[in-house]
Amino acid sequence: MKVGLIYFGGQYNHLILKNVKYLGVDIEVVDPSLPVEKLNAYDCLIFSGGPQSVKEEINSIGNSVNYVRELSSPKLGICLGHQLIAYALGGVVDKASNPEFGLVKVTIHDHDTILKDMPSVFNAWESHNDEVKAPPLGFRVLASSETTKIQSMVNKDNTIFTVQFHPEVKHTQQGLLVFKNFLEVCKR
Amino acid sequence: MFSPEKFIEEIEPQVKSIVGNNRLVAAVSGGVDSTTAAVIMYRILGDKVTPVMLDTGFLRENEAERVKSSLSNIIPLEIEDVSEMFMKGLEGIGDAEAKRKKFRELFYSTISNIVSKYNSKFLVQGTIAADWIETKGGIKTQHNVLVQLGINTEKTWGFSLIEPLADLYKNEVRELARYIGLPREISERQPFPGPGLLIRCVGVLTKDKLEVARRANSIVERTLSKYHPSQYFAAVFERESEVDRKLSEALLDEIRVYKVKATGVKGDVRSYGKIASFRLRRSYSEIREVSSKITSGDFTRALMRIKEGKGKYSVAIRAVSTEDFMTADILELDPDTLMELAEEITKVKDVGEVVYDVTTKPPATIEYE
Repeated sequence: MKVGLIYFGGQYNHLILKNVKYLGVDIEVVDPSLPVEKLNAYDCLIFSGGPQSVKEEINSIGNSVNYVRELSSPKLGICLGHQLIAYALGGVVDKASNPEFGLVKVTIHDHDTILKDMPSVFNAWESHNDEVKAPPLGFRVLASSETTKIQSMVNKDNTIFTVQFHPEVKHTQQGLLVFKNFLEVCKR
Repeated sequence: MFSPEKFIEEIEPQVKSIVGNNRLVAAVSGGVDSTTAAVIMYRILGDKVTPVMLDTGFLRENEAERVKSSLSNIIPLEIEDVSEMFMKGLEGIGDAEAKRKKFRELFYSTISNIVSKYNSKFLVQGTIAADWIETKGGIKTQHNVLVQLGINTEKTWGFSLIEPLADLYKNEVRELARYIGLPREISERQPFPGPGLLIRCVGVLTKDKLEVARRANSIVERTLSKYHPSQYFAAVFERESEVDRKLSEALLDEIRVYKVKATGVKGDVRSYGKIASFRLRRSYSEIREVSSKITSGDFTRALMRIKEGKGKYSVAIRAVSTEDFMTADILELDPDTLMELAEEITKVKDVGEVVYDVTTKPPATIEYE
């Protein structure tokens, strides 16, 4: 099994790479300028964080919108990845009314697959100027914080998962579980 | 998880084949990264390696001697005093990135001379993952990140770089240091940035600000070491500030805004933002709320005022917990402890205010610049 990590130049991308490697799974960094066909080499995809704003800079993030629309492999979107997936599938992304930096309390309403075994209320670490205002059609919201209603979503086929918080950083409680849960889906 | 044993097994043959019969200089700052990198190379290659420490003048009190003696049975460290040249080149510069880039220029032109003095072809340095990620991401220019920015070191300075720890984070470097049997004094050593006290003199560098920084750092280290923060220090800047009426009303406080700026990281983007302070409070849930409300705007630092005096400088105490230095939380130090500490710091000449930095990373970075 091989995971593709779509790289947008965020601060924690290298931590995602190391977390997945340490879980014993093969992972490769993918430049988002690669054509869609090349992505068939991966069993599942992780869309990382990054400095870009989906609304204003969609052209600077390569073919990644097409990866989301055209590929059926399981996907996990983190921060920018979460916003990108929402945007690509028809959700609404805009400036956050309350940007969150650092410690945020996240409440899980529905553990589903991706948040399985996580505490119902947990400390997460975040860093975002934009947020998902409305999920794409067929998506269900799994978790929220006081000021950001959509902290996590899943599609109805249970193949696309997204989180606004950063499960890859040490300060997010039990963050590694998000990767473990996702890799279980990849193995299916 | 990370295996130090596998790491050494992998790099040993790589290093030997790259270096061949050439000589190397290893730049040592005394922090855990550069020291571990130098010791590993020395163990693999022996006296082909000359470990050198530059005394830039921005080291802490007695640091050069302390580092030399703690390494005396491990590597033969040469110390070069370049403090006058560094002060001359940097005095009067105020912008954070201008200071870091000037420091980098002075650092590598000096190292370049040392490398040729020892007939070396390679420079070993302790760059770790957090350094190149922050530099490449445009958050701040870590002086030791060159190749990752596309700088050709051979053409510019006449040496090739070896960075054995570039894929590791701080916690992994410490594991590695323990594994190769370095004394606790080194493996658990408090991190210290290459540009040192230079980046803790926030804003324009002056000689008297540097002296305040040196004294205040000694006091903070001596007092807070028993709480085992991952990083703890003092930063110094001009005390001059104005009250922000609107923010003060919104937060039912007196919010003061300073003239200097500090480096932060918000949503993976560099933010060189304003610094604000608020009144002493006792409940950390309240303190955290005020801090995140201040920093959700264009501020990168929220500071809690502990004690006032008469001098022209403010001293910010910083104490954080982090394993990999990519994210950091504040230590919830008891306000009484902070007041005792502030009492001592205000005795330093020119100190007019002591504040406690209550900003996590993000939105702040750990250091101020």
